[in-house]
Amino acid sequence: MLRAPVNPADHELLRRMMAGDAGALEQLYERHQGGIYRFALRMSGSEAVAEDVTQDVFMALMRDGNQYDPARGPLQAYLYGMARHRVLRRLERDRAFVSISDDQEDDAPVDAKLIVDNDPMEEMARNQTIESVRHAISALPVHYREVVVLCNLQEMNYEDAATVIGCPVGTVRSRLHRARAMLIDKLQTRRESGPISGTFNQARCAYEL
Amino acid sequence: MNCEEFEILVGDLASDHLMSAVKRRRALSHTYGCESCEARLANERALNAALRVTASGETERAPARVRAALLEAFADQRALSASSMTPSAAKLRLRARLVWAAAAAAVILFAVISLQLIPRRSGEQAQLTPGTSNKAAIPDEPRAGAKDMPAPNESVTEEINRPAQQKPRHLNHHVVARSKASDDSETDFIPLTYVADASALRSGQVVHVRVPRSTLISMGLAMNVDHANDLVEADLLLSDEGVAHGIRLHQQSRTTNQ
Repeated sequence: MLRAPVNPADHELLRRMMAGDAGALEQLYERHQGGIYRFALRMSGSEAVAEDVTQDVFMALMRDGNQYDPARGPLQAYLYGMARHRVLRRLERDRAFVSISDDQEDDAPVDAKLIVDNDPMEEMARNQTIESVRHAISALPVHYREVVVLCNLQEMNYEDAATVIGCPVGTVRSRLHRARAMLIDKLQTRRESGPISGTFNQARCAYEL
Repeated sequence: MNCEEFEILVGDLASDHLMSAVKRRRALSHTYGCESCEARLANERALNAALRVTASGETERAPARVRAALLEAFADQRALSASSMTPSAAKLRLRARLVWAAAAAAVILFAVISLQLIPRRSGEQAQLTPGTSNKAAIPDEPRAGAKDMPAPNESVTEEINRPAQQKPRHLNHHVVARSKASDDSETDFIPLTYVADASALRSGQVVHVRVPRSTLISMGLAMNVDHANDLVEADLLLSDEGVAHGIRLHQQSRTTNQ
């Protein structure tokens, strides 16, 4: 007797969902909602926007799921692409979420702050590091921010990131290189006002990017 | 390796990405003699560590209300599509029924027309054949439509005396031939309708009928009341649609009538 696979592929779940299987929608949602939500959250800095974008992405998938072409990339990249489009549209509409200056405190609740560890000092340093990095990322220009969020926080490979953004892989590489240099600068600046795990030296190479 | 070449490799070197052993050794050797590039590599590694810590803290999830809203919307969408499919199926069934009904009506109409036209044509041909009697083509009873003929605007006398070029030209060839062949015993056709387009009656049928003399009143003809129930012989000019466009009284009937 044939049994359905425990972890069916995304395209199989999508096919079942489009045929009316609510269980397939639930599986797809559980599989991808976290990444989509966090991508939108890091890009916008707003939980409300992230919530709207996540819901909108899956609503669009329910409505236009037949438009997904597996030949153009994995479903994950397709979903992130939709999320990116919606985030950028929101950022265009409401620029209040775009630029967070370096001296602005991030008052958004961070789940990581609630993580309990055996060593309170170590945990505090970790949380400060997370907060500092997130703050620095949110201060990057959008097209640098998105490659860092995709490749470093979502741990997406360059090819899929290029599919999401709709640009060549080389562009992803170059943007990421530049974004990392900018992050180091921001973290060095922030380091002066508080402890950050890791050492960011002030010394700069003669060759500046 | 110089600083520029090192800058190209520093990202992969700090991330321990796959690279040739020779390149890796040359890049690391460069840092031993270049403090700035050594610091650059250290910064990249520190950034990688900070990003890894940050990535590990990426645990946020969309609120549960998003999932609930999606499932509710999905159920609504399914219900809507199901309900929209039912009327579509009903429409398709209704359309199929209408097509079949139209086809059946067309077949029946064709059969009725064929049954009506075949005897008339054979009767008309019999009339045109020299030496044959008209009796075979004459219906025993007057057509029902004959009693409902509209009254012409002109009197019979005017119609009879009308010049040939003013007379109806809507007879087909065999009807004209029939008219010429029987000039001695019949009047010309008296129009019963107003035909704007004469070509509309280029084909038709001539049907020999007997009508009660009383119906001549409706055509503006005088009638002897004592003979109201007598039958008079006439030819009706029918279009292909069965509409009477003209009537021709036989000479005997006309004379009697007068």
